[in-house]
Amino acid sequence: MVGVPTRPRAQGYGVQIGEEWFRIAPSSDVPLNIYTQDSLAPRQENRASVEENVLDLGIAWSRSNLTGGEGMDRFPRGPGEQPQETDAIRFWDSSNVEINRPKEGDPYSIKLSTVSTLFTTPASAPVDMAASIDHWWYIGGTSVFRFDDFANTVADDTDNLADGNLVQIEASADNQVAVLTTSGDIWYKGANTNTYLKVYDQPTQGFPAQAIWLVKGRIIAATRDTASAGDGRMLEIAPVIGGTPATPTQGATVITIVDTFTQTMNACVDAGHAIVAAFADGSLRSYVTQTDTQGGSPDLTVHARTQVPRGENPYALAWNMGTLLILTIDSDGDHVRLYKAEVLDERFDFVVGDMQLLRTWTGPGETAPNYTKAMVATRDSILFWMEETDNVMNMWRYDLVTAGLVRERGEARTGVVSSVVFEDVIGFIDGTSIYVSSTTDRVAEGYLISPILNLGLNTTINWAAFVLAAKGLASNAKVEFYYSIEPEVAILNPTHASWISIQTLSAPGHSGVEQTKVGISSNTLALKIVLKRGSFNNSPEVTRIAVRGIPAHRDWIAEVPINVSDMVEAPGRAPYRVPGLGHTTHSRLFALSGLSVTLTLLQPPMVLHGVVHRIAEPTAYTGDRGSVTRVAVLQFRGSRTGATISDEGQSLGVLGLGIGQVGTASVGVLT
Amino acid sequence: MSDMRNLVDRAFRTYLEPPNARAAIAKLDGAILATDTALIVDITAWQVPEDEELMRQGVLLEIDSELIEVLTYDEFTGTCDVDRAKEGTVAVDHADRSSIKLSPNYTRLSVFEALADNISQLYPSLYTVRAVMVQGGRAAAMEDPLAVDIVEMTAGANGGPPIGGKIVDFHPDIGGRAVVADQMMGSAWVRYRRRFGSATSEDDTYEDLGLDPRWANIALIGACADLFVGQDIEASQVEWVGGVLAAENITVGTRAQVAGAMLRYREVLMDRAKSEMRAEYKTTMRFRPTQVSFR
Repeated sequence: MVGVPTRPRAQGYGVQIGEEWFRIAPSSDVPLNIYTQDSLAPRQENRASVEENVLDLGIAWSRSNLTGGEGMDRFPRGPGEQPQETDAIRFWDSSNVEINRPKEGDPYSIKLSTVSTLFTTPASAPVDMAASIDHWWYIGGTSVFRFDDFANTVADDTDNLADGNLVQIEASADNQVAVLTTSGDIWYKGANTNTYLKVYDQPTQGFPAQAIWLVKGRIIAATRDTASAGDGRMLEIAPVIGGTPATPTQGATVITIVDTFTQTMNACVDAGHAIVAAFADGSLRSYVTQTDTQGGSPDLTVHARTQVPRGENPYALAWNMGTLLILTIDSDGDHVRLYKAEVLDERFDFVVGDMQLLRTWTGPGETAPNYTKAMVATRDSILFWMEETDNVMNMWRYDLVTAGLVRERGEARTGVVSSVVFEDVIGFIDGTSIYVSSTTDRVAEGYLISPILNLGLNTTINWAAFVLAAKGLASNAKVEFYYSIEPEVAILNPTHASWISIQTLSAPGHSGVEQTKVGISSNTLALKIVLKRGSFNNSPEVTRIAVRGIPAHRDWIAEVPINVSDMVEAPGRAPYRVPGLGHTTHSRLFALSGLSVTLTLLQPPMVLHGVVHRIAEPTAYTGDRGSVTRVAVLQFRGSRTGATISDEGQSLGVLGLGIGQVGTASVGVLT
Repeated sequence: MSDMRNLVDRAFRTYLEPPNARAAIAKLDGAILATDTALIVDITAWQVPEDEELMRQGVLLEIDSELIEVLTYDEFTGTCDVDRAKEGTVAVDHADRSSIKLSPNYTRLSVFEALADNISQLYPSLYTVRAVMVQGGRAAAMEDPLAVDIVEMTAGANGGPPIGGKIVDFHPDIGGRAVVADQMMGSAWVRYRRRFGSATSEDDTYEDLGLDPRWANIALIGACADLFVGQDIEASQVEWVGGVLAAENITVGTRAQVAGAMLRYREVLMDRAKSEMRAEYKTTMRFRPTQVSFR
């Protein structure tokens, strides 16, 4: 065992690794290399934008396609979180912007939402609306108003049912309509007629109906014995159809009790394999006709029952393209949650399964959020409304293709009680008026906030450059581009003081031009864009946002040729051979492999903290003057510190390097 | 004082162990007698930690001129059992704090012997001349054991006519070395050449050896060349020796050429010394009557 040197530099040692001192033998063939390197291994990230591969220095985050929706708080995800396929097309938050999948040939873009305009404020307040392929209806007072478009406010057909006020209207795609009165009666019209007939008369046929649905061509009603809160029935009401055109026959309805319940039946939806109903007791029940299964009765039969998490009340359902969305509110009324589920097939008895929580809303000040039961399924989206701030109803869009959720529209209304989508126009009722979305005009302002970015690095990053690309920058339309190095708080508040302007893009000439910045250093960063319209019908369209970061901290790499020969070379001393010394030295070296230690290099003077990364097998080389030396190259990876070399290492003025066969060093940055 | 000890030291200092290629040295912790078979090494005085690795069985240590073989070593106490007086050296007492050379490349005894050989070998190329007055008939005693040949002999105490003679190792009338003249000489001055003595001790002075101090360097160069031949000379030593020789316009290439270069340097010095010697010891030109016959 070689003793501990008392004066390492004077005694010819070159490096201390942990507690061990070694002699080094740099040469032109095996030099001492010190350089810096990215602290992560080279990465190939192909899931995101190709622009991330264009930039040749640093690491980039670049996005054009953000159709994956909001809710991505951190990119990349933290340790232990499983990356998802859509991570690369998601963002954190937005408001009043449309992020739709583009038409063929168009680029991905982010633009302002369309503005909504007042359609009409009828004399009788509208309470509900419905749409089919050909028409849309609303009910107000005792009348049903039918429209063929949103072109003018004069109804194309009006039916006064004269049976008390109406509270709910349902329509099927093929123009069947069912209407519920405040007294619990149900009126119905067939697909090819405009004649409404009462198909359920509650005093004679049962308890008052509380809600109705048209699913799979069936009228489903939820009735309750008002005298006995526990006696609820789910009815299928089948009017007898006759005549030409086929119209229901008054009083000839066949009523079937499908199910019973003790708490409110909140929603019922055609869910493909089955009809799914939601109840206030937390249950989601699936109903299937026997003809769909075993070839028996066409009556609906309850098949499966799923329970949402305890204490939550599923109050709205929507289904399309195999996706069932469920909105629940908890018993305290503090939180509204959105779940995504599927109705499994016959093998699983049509149970509602694979339920995943997508998002949770809390109301302003953690009080009960206002919400609406209106969920509308369109060809590729499901829309629903949520009041997240006082007097502002936000319309959310769930993209059935990308599973992205976007807060698309904010309306300064106290409540949206019903909405429809008819010929790409969104219509909704706020309790007193009907509003429709414009097909041309845009809201004044909207924003989008990126996830918290750290480029997958654990070190400080110099955020060197930013890119904003946009079009439609005419008529004073502009896009403001911001960053925050306090993203953890900034992403929760679009007006947080830490948002600092990078660029305001108001002319296409600067679109896509990299904006270099200095002095922006942090581990994490978030980006925000604010879109502002020019004229009413003009919205800027953001086609790309990007940021490039260069790690401020890079690993220091020291490649040190350790002398593992039997020869002992020290300043002022004739070299001599100690048989077996090289083997001993190499064994000592190997014992350090993988250890986290301090490396002290005497020349050039440098102290690194890190890990003994790699130890090569010894190789022999013949020096310029003919001496044969065995050298094992040690690679050390770590951080350089400001520590000075120990006094012992400097105790004598005679340098360990530059004497005898030692003398070559190179210091630089590996490119 | 010019003696063999100084010359040996000079050989180490100048060529064999120059300042940047010193031998591994330890210190003796306590004096030892010639009869002791154990010694203690000062374990706090290792110049380089690896030096202690040399303290293993079979390694030769050198204290003063004595070579000592290590038999055992206790790294905790520094106690070392040894076999004394190895390789023809003589066991002697050694003082406390004496330097211990660890496995030396060049032993002091070898250097001494090489120097002794090279001093002897200076003759006949170089010699010295001395004059003494002898007295006798046809033979007179020659006290100087290094005298080898008469340069000039003249009769009479004050320089008379030259007479012929020679130096013999034994003459019966004298009972030892003697000057034998061609004729009765009475008192006569004898100038004779001297060879160089063989050194037997580091205490031997130049005077004892008949060595002109000017020529000591020639013996030194020759001795080091002899020691370098066949040795793997360390690079640092090559640089040092090369620097010394370069001052004399002797170029040293690779280490294999060091010994050759030193021998060339020795010849240069020898030629220079010969010239000086001839100038100093001019041979007396003497014309004898010669019977010339013309036929």
